[in-house]
Amino acid sequence: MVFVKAQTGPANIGDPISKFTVQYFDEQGNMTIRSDGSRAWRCNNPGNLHRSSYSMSKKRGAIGFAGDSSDEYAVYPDKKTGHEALVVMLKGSIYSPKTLRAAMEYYEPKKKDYIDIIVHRTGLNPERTIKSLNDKEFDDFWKAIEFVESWEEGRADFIDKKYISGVHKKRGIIFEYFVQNLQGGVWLKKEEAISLAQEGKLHAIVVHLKNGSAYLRPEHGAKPFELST
Amino acid sequence: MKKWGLHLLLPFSLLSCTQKESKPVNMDDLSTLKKEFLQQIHISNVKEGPFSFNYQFRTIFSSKEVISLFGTLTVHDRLPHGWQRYEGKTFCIVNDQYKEVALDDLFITEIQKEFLRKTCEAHLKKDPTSYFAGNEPLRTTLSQDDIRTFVMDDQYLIVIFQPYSVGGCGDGPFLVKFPFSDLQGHWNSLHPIHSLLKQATQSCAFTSSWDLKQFYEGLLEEHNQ
Repeated sequence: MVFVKAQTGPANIGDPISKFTVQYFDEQGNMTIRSDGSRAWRCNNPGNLHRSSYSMSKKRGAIGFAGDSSDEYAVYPDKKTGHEALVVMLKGSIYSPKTLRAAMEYYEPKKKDYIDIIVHRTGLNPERTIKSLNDKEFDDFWKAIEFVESWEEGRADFIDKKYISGVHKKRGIIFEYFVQNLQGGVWLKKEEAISLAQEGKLHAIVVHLKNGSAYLRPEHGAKPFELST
Repeated sequence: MKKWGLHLLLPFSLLSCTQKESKPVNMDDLSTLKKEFLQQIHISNVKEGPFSFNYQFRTIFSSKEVISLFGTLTVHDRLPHGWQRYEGKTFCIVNDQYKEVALDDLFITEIQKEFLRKTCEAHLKKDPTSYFAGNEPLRTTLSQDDIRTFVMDDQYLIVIFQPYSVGGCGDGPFLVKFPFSDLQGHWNSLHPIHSLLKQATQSCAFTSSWDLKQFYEGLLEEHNQ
């Protein structure tokens, strides 16, 4: 499944706002909600890269961001892309000339023993520069960072988005929708279909009228609903 | 129930540091932290931004007798994520003056302190996202020095851990909630805060809002009744 968009979802009941969920959307509009686990996992962002010009640039491939108002992180379509964002950052002009010690002080300025953990796990000399590391040493280095940042898988819930493939009309007004996904379909009354669309589980737009009633219309660019016989 | 709220965004707080910090973060001195922030963003690459300095200080419990506040400082002044600190400040009225309460006032004996440490450690070991969990735990023993920040609400003592002390920075705040009933016999029961809290909760003239969502939902329910 390829995710093309992501956004913040509400935290689970009882969890603080900082434990926000992340909603991923694929090209069909289906939603996958990631909850629990570490933030790095929920955001497919093993380096915990904050939302920035760098992390959100087109080259880095972010598909959105998630967090609370003061603390938002880039969200990547998969772990590989998120990992690449970390690696490119470490190999870039800001980090690569720094020694491992200076780099980790920059990475997390208030945590004195970050470098101690890196050295303990890698055996690398903290006074060496990042750009002096060979491929194997560099791999050990980023693996240690991702370890400290914490990658813990949580729960992923898939919510498929259904389509309207037919309608029934009475006196020119739609009163039933045939709602289906890959597994099959079912006729739903207008109110039920509207409720499904309001929950974001149906490819349709809810239009509210001034008199308080509502109806569904196709999404932008989609074909009109077809009348079933 | 009479409820009155206080939601503060004030430059007013405490020294909140651990021994592991290279430079102790003095959150009482936000002016200096702001200056440091400005100095840093002058030398940071523009691609590391947008930069921000956010400080939130809100009440967790507030009554005439007891007030407990939780602060979060989130500074984005560099890649990848800047830094963050939490603070807790709890006061109670003693001789008509607000007196700050420290954990050392509530847990005075070594046995009490060890109870607090051990219980926190056991709780963190059960949290799969903490450094104490997994096949390869980064930490196996919680230090007393990690237990510094706390707040109180009407039911719980809430111990909060600083970023990277017991888990990754993005997964905080890591916390352990102690129901007051579980602390009976394990903390200093003579401290005046106990009777003051009891007085406040019995009078119902307080707000308790660790979980803000729950707090506002509770208010809406009251309105609808």
